[in-house]
Amino acid sequence: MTGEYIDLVQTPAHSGLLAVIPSALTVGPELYTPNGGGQVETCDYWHEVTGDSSPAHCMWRYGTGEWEDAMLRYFSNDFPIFTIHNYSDTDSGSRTAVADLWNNVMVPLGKQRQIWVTEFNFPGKGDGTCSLSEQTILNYTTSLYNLMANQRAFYFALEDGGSCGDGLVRSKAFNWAEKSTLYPGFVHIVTGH
Amino acid sequence: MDKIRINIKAYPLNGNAATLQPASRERAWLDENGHAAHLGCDIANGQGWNVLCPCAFEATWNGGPNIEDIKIRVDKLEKGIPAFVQSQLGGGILTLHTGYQIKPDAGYRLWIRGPINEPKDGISPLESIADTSILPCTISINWKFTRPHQAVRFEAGEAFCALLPFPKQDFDNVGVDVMQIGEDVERYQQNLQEMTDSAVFHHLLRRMGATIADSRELLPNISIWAHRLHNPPAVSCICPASERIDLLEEAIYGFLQQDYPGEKELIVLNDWEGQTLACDHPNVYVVNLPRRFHSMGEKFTGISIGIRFYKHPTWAGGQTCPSTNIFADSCGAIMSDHMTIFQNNLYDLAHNLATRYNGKVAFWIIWNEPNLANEFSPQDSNLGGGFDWRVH
Repeated sequence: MTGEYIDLVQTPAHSGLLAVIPSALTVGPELYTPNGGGQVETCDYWHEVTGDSSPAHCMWRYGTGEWEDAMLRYFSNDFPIFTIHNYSDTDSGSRTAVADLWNNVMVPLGKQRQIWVTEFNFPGKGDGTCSLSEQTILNYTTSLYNLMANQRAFYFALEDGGSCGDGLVRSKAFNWAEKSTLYPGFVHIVTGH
Repeated sequence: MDKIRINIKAYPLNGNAATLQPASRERAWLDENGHAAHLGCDIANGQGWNVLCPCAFEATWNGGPNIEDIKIRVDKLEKGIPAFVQSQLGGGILTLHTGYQIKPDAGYRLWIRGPINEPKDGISPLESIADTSILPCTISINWKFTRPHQAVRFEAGEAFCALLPFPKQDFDNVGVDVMQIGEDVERYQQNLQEMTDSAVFHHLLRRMGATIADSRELLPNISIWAHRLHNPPAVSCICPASERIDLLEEAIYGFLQQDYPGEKELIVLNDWEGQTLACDHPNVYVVNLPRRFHSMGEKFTGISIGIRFYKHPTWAGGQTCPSTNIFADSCGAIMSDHMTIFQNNLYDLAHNLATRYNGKVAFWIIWNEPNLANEFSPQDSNLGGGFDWRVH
């Protein structure tokens, strides 16, 4: 699977970019990572077809899955900055995901590099519980930025989507109204005001 | 073109002459507010020479008409040397002496004014022009208090005066013609041609990689200017639409009518909460934003756009969406059951995107979460996912 991804997607697209912009900065591979606790929730297409739930195709924790290991072991030049997505229940879960990637994969392979969390939010997206209040999400977000070991983190997303209301503003149906706590709280994180 | 160099001779009158230095383009208050790039001040900021306070002082006006109504406290005053700041005129006017006689080259006068774009609370500089074209002049500047009982402080090294030489004859015979386009099209076009023929404008275009031909050949349906400009740089214009949506169509029409020979695009930033805008012209991009910007400054500087392509854009050869559902299977698809073709298509798409957005993208992200079955599933040619990158 990892080889197919590189052959079908990464290599042709990366080549097309570099043909025009030799210095283009490409980051990736945007791997979805599980809650820092470690339940099975991240399976690739091979699992879909064969039911194979081995660590090669369903990530339990970093260091046991194939995707992140293969990307760094064999294709590290494609990813000078390594990116992941994480939707843990708490900020500590997100930090655990980053720490596991660093300690259990990058260091043993000698492939240390910047880690960007290019999507994060709370709680686990898609679980439909929407159990966390704006204040709790803001507290976790603030803590994540204060304590993070990764270099960048991108809040996803600006507006509400799906069943879980974790955007900084509400959806179009609500005229994108700013969340009373989350929006000014995030602005404070970014600007200090 | 050789630059004309103007020399200014400054003759110190005493041991307390102020320091002269070229004006700087930087202004701390402009940078702090994020306005520096958008108010067009930086060129003006760097004009002329500034005169700096030799020592700090504070002055307060009690509102009265007399000389004694201004109290001055100088941090350091050398005995036997005239103070550079004095109350000499009354009426809340403070006089600051440069300590120089100054003489620019023959034929130049001296515009004496406060530091450019350095507003000061409680006091305002008065401007004057000294005819230094023949003889040197002793230069001082007056500042007028704007309200009483307001202590005004100048720090040592702070600019209190700006000197701008300018040709004596330049402003003597200046006329203004207001040109109405409909009244004299030929003259309007001639003036426009003169403007686009200016050396400064040519220099700017050449810096951006364009070349300008000498040909003056007249061609139908194309201006001489468009004909002469080769390798024109791509131009992006931002149209900050707001409540006056009724004027937007006219603005877009005016933009599209420009016969600029290079690639051009108009980005319409719509932050009007009451309306979502759309435009299907390939050179016009509408960005609908979820909330109003607080100021024009924020509108221009606070924008960080992440663009995510789920499907092959039509301008890059993709199919037109049959419905508003962008996730429809056949909409703009790049997929193919022949993997080699898919790879070629993806290469072309990346190539086209890079060509179109070269210089505008901070970093690129290819695909999304390939380790999830619903994002990357090559065996049944459902490749899902998509290009994903962010622009800063």
